[in-house]
Amino acid sequence: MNTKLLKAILGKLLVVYGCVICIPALVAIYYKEPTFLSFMGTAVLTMAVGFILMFNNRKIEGRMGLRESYAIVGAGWLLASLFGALPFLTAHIVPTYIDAVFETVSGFTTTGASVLNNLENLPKSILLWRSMTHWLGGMGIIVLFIVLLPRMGMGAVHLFNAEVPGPTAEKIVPRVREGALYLWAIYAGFTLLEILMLNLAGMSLFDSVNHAFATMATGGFSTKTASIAAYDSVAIESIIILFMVIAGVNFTLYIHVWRRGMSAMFKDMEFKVYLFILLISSIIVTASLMLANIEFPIGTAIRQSLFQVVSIMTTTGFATADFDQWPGLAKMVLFFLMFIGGSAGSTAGGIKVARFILLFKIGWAQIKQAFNPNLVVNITFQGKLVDAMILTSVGRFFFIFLLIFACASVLLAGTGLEPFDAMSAVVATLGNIGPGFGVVGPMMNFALVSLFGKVVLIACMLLGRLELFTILVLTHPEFWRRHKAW
Amino acid sequence: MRVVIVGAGKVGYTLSHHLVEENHDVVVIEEDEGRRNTIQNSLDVMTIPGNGASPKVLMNPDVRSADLMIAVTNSDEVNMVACMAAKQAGINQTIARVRNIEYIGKEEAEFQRSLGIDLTINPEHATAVEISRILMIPAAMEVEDFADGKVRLLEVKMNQDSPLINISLAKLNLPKNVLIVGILRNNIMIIPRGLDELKVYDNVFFVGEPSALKEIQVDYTEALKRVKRVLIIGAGRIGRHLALRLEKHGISVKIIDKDPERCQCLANLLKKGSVFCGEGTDVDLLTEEGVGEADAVVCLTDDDKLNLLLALLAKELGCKKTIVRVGRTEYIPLLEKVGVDVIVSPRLITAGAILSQVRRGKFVSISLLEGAKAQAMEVIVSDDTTIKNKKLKDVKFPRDCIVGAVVRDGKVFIPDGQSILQDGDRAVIFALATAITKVEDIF
Amino acid sequence: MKVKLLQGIQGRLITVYGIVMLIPLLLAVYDADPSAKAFAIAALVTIVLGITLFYKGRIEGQGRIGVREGFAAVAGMWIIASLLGALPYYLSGHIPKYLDALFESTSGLTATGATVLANIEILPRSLLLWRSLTQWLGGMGIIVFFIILLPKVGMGATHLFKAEVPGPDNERLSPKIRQTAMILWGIYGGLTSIAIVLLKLAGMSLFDAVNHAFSCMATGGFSTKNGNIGAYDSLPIELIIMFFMILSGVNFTIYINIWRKGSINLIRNTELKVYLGTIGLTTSVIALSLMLQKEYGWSLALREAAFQVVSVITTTGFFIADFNIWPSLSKMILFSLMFIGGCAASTSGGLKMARIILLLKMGAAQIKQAIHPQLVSNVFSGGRTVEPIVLKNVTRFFFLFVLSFVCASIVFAAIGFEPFDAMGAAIATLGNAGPGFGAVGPAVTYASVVPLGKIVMIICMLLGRLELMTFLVLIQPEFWRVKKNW
Repeated sequence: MNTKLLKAILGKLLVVYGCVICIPALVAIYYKEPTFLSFMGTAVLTMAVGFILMFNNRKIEGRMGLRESYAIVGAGWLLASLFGALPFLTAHIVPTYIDAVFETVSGFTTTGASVLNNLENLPKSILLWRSMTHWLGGMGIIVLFIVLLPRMGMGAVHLFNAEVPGPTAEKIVPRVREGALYLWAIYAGFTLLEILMLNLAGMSLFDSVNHAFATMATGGFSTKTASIAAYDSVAIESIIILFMVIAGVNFTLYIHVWRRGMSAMFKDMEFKVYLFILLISSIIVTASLMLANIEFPIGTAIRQSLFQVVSIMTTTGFATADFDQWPGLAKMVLFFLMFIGGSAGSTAGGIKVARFILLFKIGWAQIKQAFNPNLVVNITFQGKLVDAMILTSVGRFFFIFLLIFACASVLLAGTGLEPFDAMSAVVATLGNIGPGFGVVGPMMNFALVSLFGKVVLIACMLLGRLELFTILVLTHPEFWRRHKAW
Repeated sequence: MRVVIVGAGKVGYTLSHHLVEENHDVVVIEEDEGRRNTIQNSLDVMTIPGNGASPKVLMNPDVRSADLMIAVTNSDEVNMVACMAAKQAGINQTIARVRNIEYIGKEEAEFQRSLGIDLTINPEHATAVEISRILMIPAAMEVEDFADGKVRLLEVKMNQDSPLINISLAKLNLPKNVLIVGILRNNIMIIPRGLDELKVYDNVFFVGEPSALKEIQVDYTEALKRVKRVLIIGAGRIGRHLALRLEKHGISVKIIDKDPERCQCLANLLKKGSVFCGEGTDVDLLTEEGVGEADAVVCLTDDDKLNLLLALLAKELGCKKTIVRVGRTEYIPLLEKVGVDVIVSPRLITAGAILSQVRRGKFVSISLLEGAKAQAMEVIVSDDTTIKNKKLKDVKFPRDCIVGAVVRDGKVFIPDGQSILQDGDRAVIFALATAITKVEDIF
Repeated sequence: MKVKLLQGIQGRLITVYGIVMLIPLLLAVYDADPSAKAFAIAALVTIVLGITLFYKGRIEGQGRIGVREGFAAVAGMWIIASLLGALPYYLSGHIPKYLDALFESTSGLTATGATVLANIEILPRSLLLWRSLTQWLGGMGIIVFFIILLPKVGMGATHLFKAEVPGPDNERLSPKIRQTAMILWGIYGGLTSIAIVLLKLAGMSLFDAVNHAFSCMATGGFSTKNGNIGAYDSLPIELIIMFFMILSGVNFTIYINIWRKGSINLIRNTELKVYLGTIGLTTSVIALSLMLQKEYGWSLALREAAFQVVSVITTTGFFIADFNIWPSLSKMILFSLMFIGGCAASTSGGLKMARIILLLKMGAAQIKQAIHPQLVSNVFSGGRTVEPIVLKNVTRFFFLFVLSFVCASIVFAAIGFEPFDAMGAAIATLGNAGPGFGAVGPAVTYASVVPLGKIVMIICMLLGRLELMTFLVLIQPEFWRVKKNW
């Protein structure tokens, strides 16, 4: 393990991160909030630790192997969460450090589950910091890092793959750094666009910025306690729906569109399936609402179900209705949508549409092979043959995801949550959605979860955001063997 | 003796070469015209076209009158059938080369003997056994066991720190029952006398009891720890045999091969070792999997040149010991010069095994050392030898051979000029290539 | 598809099934009970149908029973058996609606144990016997049973056997299928007899002992009492039933090996160890949960926890407590156990231990692969490498199982179940467990479920019992092509 390299990179990361923390500090000055000290203090501390790490380890040299990159991603996210939690704690926004870490991790992993209440009375700098953690974590802290700091060679590829895994291994541009740059450019571009449109629709500039951050990152933190329901504005809801959908699409598809035009979008199978699922689910949920209550105006039903469906499938987590009160069918559909998630290569969480497409194809092939044992079936995706290794990893990923879900649900049930509430809390964090059902429903928050439960959920959030393996490898004894895996 | 060799491939060629050098009559049966011509033109042998298993060929008086048939074609089954048919046709001894791992084993050997095949040789398996024995003894470059393991021959390189160098042999304080029988210096093999001294970079051949030799390893040579981690490049037959053997001995094994099917096949057999699919020359892969931490890297691809390159690469990346499989025996001195630690040649190992069979009975085993510059052999002293009841110094032993150790009634001792060899003794003799026929005559 | 061959096979099987119906008929006549008429009609219809098909079809000269014929025969047989088996309930008037009768019949044959009967004890003995008899037959497999009785079908019956008793291992138990079938039934029958004797000694009436032994060995769960095993409130009876439930959940090949070789190294059998270990662990946790969260005394907690855990993991469905009122942690664990199921090649349902173990090993291998991308890995089980095809089948089965579960849950939510109850009902039927949670919990029955729900439940029960494939192949259009695949 090339510890010198680790220290050099993490040190630099912390320094840059510290600078970033100065932004909410400046906002605190502007709004004359006492949180200025918290932010400034955290920024200075972070930068100091960063410099200490960089002491004697200035240059990025030596080998960045696979293990080093896992360690960097894991440590990077951990440190970012631990340091980023400090402002919450020191400004007395939350009672315990675990709560602060929960909120911060929820921010970075773009989950959007909150332990906070009464958001309108919180300092604006704190609200901005929450949304900023979303925005940074959405496209990836490490990816940003790759963009900002050059010259890492093959190491950059390992880092990128460790933070942005995903089922298929597509490379859009030859060099990873260029690719990362494009992604961030598209991301920033859409964010700006949304800020503009929200502002025009009537949101204050401050709120527009925060909500745009949270939308594009598919995070879900709002500046309002009642989430988007507070605005009761069709225009705002429509804009947010639009950008949630955009954020849930594979970003490399946007690069394709840039190069080859819109037709690329209509040819993409994942995109089509993604939209299809959104459509079907909305119809079912609308129907469920209508059937349960004949008085329900159809316009409202469509409006609410569309918003909730999009919000949950893209794992954003905004709410315009308390869907915890909805009929059983609607809740069931929403629950299962939490597992599906958005497209691969987007900022959304979950198992990802691409994986499901592959799983379905495999399942269908399996049935065919059951009565034709010698049949050779080739699975293709987007016209290309899928490598056997990818098929294997997809199936196993599915199992491990559900396994973690099951274990965490049992643990949460142990802390006292009712079974369904426990399961929803787990999938809401593992899939980085945000609100669950019951005690952790959309109009509630996670404050009532026990400390132990919060720790489990924090782990789930990180596991989900880093697509399981990046964190799981840290648990395997092979990773820690002194003699390089002998 | 008249020997029939079926198959004029590389092994057949090497065997013919060695046998001719030892003054035997060699008849080679080979179907392929090109190979026949090659061997006809370069060796003093008779060639017969045809299939070694066919009755017509076996009826040929030149073949029928042979004392020994060695079948070394590419097909296990042809080799076995040829030997069985040959036994029926009246040829005394038969040896078949067999590669399939399922044909190896004590029970299988019994069964094969009953069919008419006196000895089966599996070159790849034998090579793997050889390599694993060398690996078990860290400082060794060559290890041979004789007399059911009671006597061992050990080849060790002298480095600069060795306390044994630059002291005359007579004054050297070796443990009891250990004798230095040979020195390879600047590519020449010497049988040392009392006044000779060991120099730096000499390869020294010790003969003695294994426990005594261990003392030498520990006290006088580089005290290397037990081998724990071995990287094998090449999952062919030798690689497979070796990996399984090492795993059984509790060594951590990693294998790299570039063919996915071979990888999968080996992965299915190994319980704890790891198989990686990739190029052996991939520096990233090597570094990632810790080649620098390996106790030894064994290069077993089919390509000699690649093996050499891999060994040097591994050394460069920090590996301590490199073992290379080589096909062409001519490369051996070159490889040693360049810095490869141990070189194994399946062909030489096969030839050694076959030669001990050829020398019939008394010569229990023979090992070819250092590209056949010398041989170490174990002989059972019997009634009809010329040396019985004579003191060793009175026997006209050729200059370039030495009796290293003798096992009598299970006990090992180093003979000197006064010793008398008796019936039933097993003697381990170290002899240069030039002395071999003379040794044969004596015994 | 060799239709004539199918008809020939099924004709024979159905005829024998009809003959079996004569057993409760005899009991009804003995008891002078009006339902004798119902049985008589049912048996008549069945036998006539069987003989008709038998004459329409032909077995000789039709060639081998191919894979497709195997699947079709098994699927067809089970559907027909369920349909015909409902007749006694329906014709006797004790279950007025045919759909309900079909539900009860299917629940019997698939050894699920979910009942629509609000009051079991008013049923005549013949019907009670029929209930338990269907479970006993279905537990080991009706096809397997018939393979013994009909030597002609036995030839080339490999596919029949495999279609009914699939499972992850492809181990052939015995050179001849007929021999294997006989040994299995021999062991099954033997254990049942011992159970009957022990239960009688423990205080049950002979009739009750027979019925309970039948449903216990089949891991079915039907009882002759409304309060199920809880009605006896007898520790010895509970212990005996627990013991035999555990035995039924063990891999029957172990029994075959003991029979053949005299003894067997049980310590090396991973599946058995994990099976028993899981029972031990979950019992302890639930017992603790009951003691701490519901303040049970330790002996009561242990007694109830142990019984319910064994009953649920073997998917039997007997109960001595209404676990619906248990703390959330216990319910969550029981819910998860329904998925796990018993060992492979036993009479229990669920995913099966062997599969779970393989999935876990594959998960671990996948994590190792993440650390060593070029590693060629393999999974070991029982000292040998597991063939890739087996691994593939296991992951695909897992996905299809979960998929079926999700679809069923959505349907149940649509008919009005709350999410957790919907999921509980889905796994209880798909896993052939029996009682679920909430509205279909042990204290209530399935009586109040709407027809659509019952139909889907029936389908789930069949799907689960025949391990998905046997039925899923029927939805592939290629399966039905007459001209073999062109």
